[in-house]
Amino acid sequence: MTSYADTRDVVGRPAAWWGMLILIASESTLFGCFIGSYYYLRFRSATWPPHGIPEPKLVVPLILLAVLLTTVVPMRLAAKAAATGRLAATRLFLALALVVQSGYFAYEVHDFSDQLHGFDITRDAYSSIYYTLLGADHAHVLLGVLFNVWLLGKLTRGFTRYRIHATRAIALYWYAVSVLTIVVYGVLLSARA
Amino acid sequence: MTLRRLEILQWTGLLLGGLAFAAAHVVGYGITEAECNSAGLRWGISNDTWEVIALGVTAGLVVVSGLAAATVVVRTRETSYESPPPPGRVRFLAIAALAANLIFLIIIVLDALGSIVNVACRQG
Repeated sequence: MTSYADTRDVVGRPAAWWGMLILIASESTLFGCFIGSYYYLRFRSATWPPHGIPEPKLVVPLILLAVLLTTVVPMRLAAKAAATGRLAATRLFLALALVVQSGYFAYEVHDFSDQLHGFDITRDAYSSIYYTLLGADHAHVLLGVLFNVWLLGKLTRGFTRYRIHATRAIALYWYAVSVLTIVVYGVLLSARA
Repeated sequence: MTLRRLEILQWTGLLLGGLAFAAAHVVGYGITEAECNSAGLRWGISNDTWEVIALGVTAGLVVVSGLAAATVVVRTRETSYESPPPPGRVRFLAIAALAANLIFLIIIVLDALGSIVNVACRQG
């Protein structure tokens, strides 16, 4: 085990972790504004969704959500493997998570495009906030996928303290994206109530 | 200055500005809602006066927050932000707080000016 992988003598989390936490906080604020807008519009509408727009689907989004949530496990295992200097295990868990995350994102892009054919984003306030909220969530999943691709590329050249900290920070990002997706899906599916 | 005091200043610098903006934004929204709805019409609420007061108080808090962060940055100039925690983390977050407080100050001014210049109660 290389010396830079052993962080047990260090007091506190690395700066990269804190930096990622700040990013998560700012993005959460953005989504807070979106969700506030969603309910502001909803409480001023007699019918929600408006007539002519179908209620959000239930089964497929929940299955996809479950698929995305399963990637929390390999990301957590990758962060732990990185903290203990196990390079091969870190790469394996990251690659496993990346495959599932990429598949999730690809399907969501297809589904998003499909829905746009059913009702356009400019149709009314509901469609505007619906696609904005859903699109923003998918954009954050894409960002996470790009993080993983970058990290796997870096790890082909082995560990450094920077890359180990980056693994922990990116795992934190994925925990936050998972929670965010739960919240976003909950908000959008609340239209069925 | 002890590390403990530097940590307190660092967290103050990082969080005070953001919290002040959030509070002012929510209060400003509430003032507008109160002024523009039927019950509030009899209360004589002046949106502009309240916004100016909120701007002064919030901007002052953001300046205090920025000064706290600046103090930490100056006091930790011998340390790199890439150093192990806690000194490295303290410097890193203080630098982030400097940038954040500048942004929050701009947001607060624009928020208040937008509310003051715009007509508060009209159909959207």
